[in-house]
Amino acid sequence: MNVFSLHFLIVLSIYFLCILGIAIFGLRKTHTEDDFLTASRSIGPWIGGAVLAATQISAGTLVGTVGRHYATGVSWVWVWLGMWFGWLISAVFVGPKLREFGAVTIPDYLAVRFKSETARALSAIFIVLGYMILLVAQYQACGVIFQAIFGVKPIYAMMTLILSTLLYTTLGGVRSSSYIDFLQIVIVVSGLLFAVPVLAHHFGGIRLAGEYLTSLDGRLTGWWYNGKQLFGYSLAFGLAMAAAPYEMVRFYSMRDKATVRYAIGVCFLFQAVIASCVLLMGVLTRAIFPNLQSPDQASSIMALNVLPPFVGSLFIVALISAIMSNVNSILLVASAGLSHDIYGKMINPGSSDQRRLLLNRASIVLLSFAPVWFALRRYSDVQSIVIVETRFLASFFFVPIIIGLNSTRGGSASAIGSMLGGFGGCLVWSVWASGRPTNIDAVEVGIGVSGALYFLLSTITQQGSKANLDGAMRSGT
Amino acid sequence: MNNTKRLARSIHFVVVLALSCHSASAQTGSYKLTHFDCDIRIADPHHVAVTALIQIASDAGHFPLSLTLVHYSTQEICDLRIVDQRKGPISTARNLTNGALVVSIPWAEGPAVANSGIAFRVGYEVVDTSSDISRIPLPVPNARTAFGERLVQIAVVLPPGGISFGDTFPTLSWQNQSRGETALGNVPSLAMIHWKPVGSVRLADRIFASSVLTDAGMLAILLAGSLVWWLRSRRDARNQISAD
Repeated sequence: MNVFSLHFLIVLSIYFLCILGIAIFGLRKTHTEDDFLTASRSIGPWIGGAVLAATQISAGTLVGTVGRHYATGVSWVWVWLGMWFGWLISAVFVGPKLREFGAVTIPDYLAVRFKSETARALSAIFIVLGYMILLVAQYQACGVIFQAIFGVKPIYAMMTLILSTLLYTTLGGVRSSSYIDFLQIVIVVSGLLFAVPVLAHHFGGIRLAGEYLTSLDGRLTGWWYNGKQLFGYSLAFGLAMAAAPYEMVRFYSMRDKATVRYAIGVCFLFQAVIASCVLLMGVLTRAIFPNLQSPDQASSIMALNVLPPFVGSLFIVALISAIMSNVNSILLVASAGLSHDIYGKMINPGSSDQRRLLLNRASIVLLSFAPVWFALRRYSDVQSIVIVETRFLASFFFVPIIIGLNSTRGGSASAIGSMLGGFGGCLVWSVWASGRPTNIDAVEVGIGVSGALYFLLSTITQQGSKANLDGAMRSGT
Repeated sequence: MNNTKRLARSIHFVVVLALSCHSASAQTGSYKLTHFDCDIRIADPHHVAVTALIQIASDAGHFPLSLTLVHYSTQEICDLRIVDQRKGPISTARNLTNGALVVSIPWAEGPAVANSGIAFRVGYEVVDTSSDISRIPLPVPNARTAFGERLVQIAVVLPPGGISFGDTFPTLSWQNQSRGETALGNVPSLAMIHWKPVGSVRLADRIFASSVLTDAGMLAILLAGSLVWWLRSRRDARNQISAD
């Protein structure tokens, strides 16, 4: 065992002890389904903001985005603008309104707003399916990290990840995961803030790194992607962020509407730091190790070979904890889709609170193992898998959630039509455009089809009225 | 049961379809690095000699093979020579920019070591007359190693009576006071070594290394954060008791 592995194991053990402590704290405070899924709506702005950032900052960011900057240089940074635009939409048009609505899950909201159990079932099934894809990215990233550090097979890394995440997800629900998310984001941000100067110092400065990268490939410091491509990626991330169920359920756990707005502001602060550091980390790692076998290795190789042992270990722990945080959020949302929406509302509406809570925990265990099979096959790099998931998510949820919350227009037919049409449009375009040069992104097609169907069907069926929306809001609360 | 199987098959189909239809375009070239053995000999604070034996294989056609060296503004790379294994010189084209020296090697110049591979030896001297050399540019070929293999060997030899201190990159294991070695999975663009004659290394030289300061700073932040957290929870608990 080398010095780094020893440091890493010590830091990881201390971190897991902290997580265990917080999970036990969460378990003692969790008695009902509402405690488990919304922490009794007690989370404040700072913890809430950190939770929102931690939920978004996943392997997709610390492995995938670092890898994307490593491979393609600085131009990918513009995608963050799309993401922040998505947060703005969320802060103005989604978060506070959903919090006021007071539902437990997104399918809950869709079912009440559009008076449709089919919309509930469809959205619950899509959440399970869509998040399985995102879990594949998280598991794959975890496999890459452990393989780089210990040389172990990815399957062992994935099993370790699943078991440790299951521990705190099934024990404490949203309350313990919120406090753990706060700890995670502090480690991630401080790890990044220390890592970047060390990288720059090792290479001999950021300016020299820029000149060196330009001589490797001029596009690394210029435009790797053209404007239309960046617009497509930004749109996918932004719209998916504005309507992401696993981010939105976090709003439900906050105290009130004002807390949601403050929390989004706090989340921006964390993200601005993270975006800048991730950009510099990716390009500086490229300057130090210009020819890595896979861009996904950039974070772990950098932490393993360049950073000092303690900071490097902490950064890897931050990486793993970000993955755990994301897996935890996804599992909470996907299991709620199965237990609360499909079982509790459709199969057995009279089931007791305790029974649904038990089923929720069982669903988490079941859903956590399913994506392992896909992750072991490595269909693509981590960031590409995240992009695929965001495209489908935006195409499926954006129109019914945003328009549903902000307009009286639309009923069950328009909601169902827009969700299915958005998903279908995105899938067909993704398959058709694969390997072909095109300037139209699948998310643009998906959103376009979804929006068109929503308006068309709401016009044909004449569904929706002010009374309908107000009634839905009242019954939600 | 049939319905469940059909549903599982459909979900599998859609997930695989979605995962397969987009992937990153980060890969450049298809050369494979099969051997990289680099020897760095520090003569004095202003002169360092570098030699490297490089073997490369290609499984998909031939395209321009190149070596890239970081160009530090105060340094000069002198006596650059590239020879095949029989010590015959290989002609190259060189392009010096602000950040790098790019050396292009025609594929046909190197003798084959396998069905479709070449081996060559690179040598040069790094000279810096204005300051001590701590960062040494290494020749980075446009080739990748296989995942998980540690084919990149780097050895550093200090001048007699010299000793390393502070930050070193890559991390070396010292065989004796003057020779350090490491094996990596990928070729770094530089090696960073700080050294001084034995007896002139002070405690401050070891303490004020960026790695020590970074580790200490991180630890301090975590301890301070934990303290603030603990004080806040105590205050909240006291407020709760007085409110009750």
